[in-house]
Amino acid sequence: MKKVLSILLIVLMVGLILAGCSSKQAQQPAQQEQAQQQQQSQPQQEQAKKDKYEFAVIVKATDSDFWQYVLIGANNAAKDNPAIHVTTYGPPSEADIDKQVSILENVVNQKPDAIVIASTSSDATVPALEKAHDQGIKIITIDNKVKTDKIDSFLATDNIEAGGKAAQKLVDELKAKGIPLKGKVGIISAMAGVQVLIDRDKGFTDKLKELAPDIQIVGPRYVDNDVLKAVSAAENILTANKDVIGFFADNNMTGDGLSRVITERKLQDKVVAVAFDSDPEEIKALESGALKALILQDPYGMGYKGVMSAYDALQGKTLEKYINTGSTVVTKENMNQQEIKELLDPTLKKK
Amino acid sequence: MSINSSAKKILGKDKSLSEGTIIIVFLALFVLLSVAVNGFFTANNLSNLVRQTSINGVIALGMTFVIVSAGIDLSVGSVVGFSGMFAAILMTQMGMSAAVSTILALIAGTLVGLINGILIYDGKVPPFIATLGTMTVFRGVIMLISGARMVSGLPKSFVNFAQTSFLGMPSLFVVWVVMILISSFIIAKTRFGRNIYAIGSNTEAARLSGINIRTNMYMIYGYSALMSSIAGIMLVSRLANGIPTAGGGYELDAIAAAVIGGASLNGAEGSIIGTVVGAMLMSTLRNAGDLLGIDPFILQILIGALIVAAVLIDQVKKQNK
Repeated sequence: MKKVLSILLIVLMVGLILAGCSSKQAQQPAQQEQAQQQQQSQPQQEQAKKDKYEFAVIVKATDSDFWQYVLIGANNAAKDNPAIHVTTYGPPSEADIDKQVSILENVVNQKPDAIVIASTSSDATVPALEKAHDQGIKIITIDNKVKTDKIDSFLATDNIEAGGKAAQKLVDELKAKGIPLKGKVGIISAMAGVQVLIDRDKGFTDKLKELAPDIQIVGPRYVDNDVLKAVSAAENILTANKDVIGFFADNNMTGDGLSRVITERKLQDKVVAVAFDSDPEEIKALESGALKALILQDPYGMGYKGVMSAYDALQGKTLEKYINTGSTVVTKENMNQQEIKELLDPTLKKK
Repeated sequence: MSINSSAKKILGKDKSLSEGTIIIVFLALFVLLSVAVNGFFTANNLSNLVRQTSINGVIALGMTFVIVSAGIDLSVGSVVGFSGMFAAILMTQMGMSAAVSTILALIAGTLVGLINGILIYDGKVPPFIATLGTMTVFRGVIMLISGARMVSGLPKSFVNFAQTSFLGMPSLFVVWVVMILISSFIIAKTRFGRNIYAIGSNTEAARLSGINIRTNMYMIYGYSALMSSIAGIMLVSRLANGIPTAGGGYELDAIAAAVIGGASLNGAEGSIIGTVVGAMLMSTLRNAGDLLGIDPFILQILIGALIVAAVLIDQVKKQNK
């Protein structure tokens, strides 16, 4: 008897914790019950306008600044528009592709009005997204293209173009320093097999070949999105090649690792390093000159515009199939402009 | 405790079971969620739930064999990735049929288990170290054969498998159920099954009583790798790509499922039914968390706490005996 009681207690506690953590705690269950009662009493009809829309925003991972910025954008869109309620989801890390698929399946089951998703895989989420679209849920994909036409719009950085900007900036810096355009440039890539990174590296490589055909490219070296492994990769490239004149890191983790090596070895004047994205460490590196430029996407814009596009679609507007959310080259010179500051640190815009 | 007695039957031994508690906890939680959470107890969600559990569920079956024998297998995640990638490459680049590629991938994956067995028995390398080695080696092999790129363009028939149903149940779940039945049969009805417990309890005593430790070790780690290979094929079908990072970290989920289900890392304790419930419990929490829109960080804390709590309760019960 004691045992059974204690077990029941445990279950109750877990249940209470689950209920207590529910972000939609107070209003949500009541609302859903109402909705359900309505459904039971009358067949569901396509209502033209509701006074409250449920949006699900699913990002690739919860463990990175970049995706947190997307969520800030999405939440701000909801705060600016009282008719929108946003719930955010994401697996612990970008390697958890199957966890993301599971989350999506569970979300579709809840029948939100719209889903805004940064899908880690271009294929894995297709069946669930198509099913959702067939049910009349509006689908907006952000950051990564998904291989289906059953979406309402796709918002992303043109990563090939952005990678090209990195190469352009690197060559400009080399010329400004009077370093001849021959020798080696190392590429440090966060992860193998991720399309946006493949695009960035390709954009960078193609542009560099065009601008400076005599430069040899070393890498990409893949580092499992781990700062420490990025440090080692940069060190090893420097050890193995005596004529390294530049580096390209294709996200913030690799940028952090790279800037650390350049700072430690005091290579600010000998090596031109350019990296992607922004985080506090990278911003420090930009100030110190360890990194000469950061190529910034607009994660905040992806989240904000993603939610707004979904809202427009619900209002019956036709959307552009593809919206380029743009990329910006940030340098020590322009980093203090308000606009760039907000790009570097979208938490400034948190409402 | 009817559950305990039936579980005893399945196990074919008269030992007090630690999974009794977890089964009750799971059933109670399940009932609670069905009542309290909108959309939880619906055909659609339940079929999602079992599909989401199936892949880890299959890996955890093999892991249970290993843990009962007082070993550990860290290579399962890499085997998942390796067999899946191997099949994907055979299908896309060698133009082989889905069936042939799958069989070859299962054989290749199972060989990793054989390597583990050889390292552990013949090389006297502790299981933790041996499988840590093969885990790292085969992640490297995956990167090498795939050029660290996603492999797409798999045959439709293969990709659709994960979406299909069989007898009204998701095909992935059906595969898991078949593996559960096979594993239960092995444990309950075969000499090999009994040997695993004997080895886990005391390897030296098992050797003296005439059990061939070498053969059994090869079979235990081979079985674990075979299960992971099957899971690898399931995963590729579910994700529609061969993904270089696929399966990373799965070893920990599989160990967690077995341990929540009452398996002891000291060996000789653990059961198939316990592991099945352990895997279900974790994915049920995740599933309910998504339905409720719980902060994913809180969810992670809960699942971590669950792993420790399961073992803690078990220890407390033992001390009270």
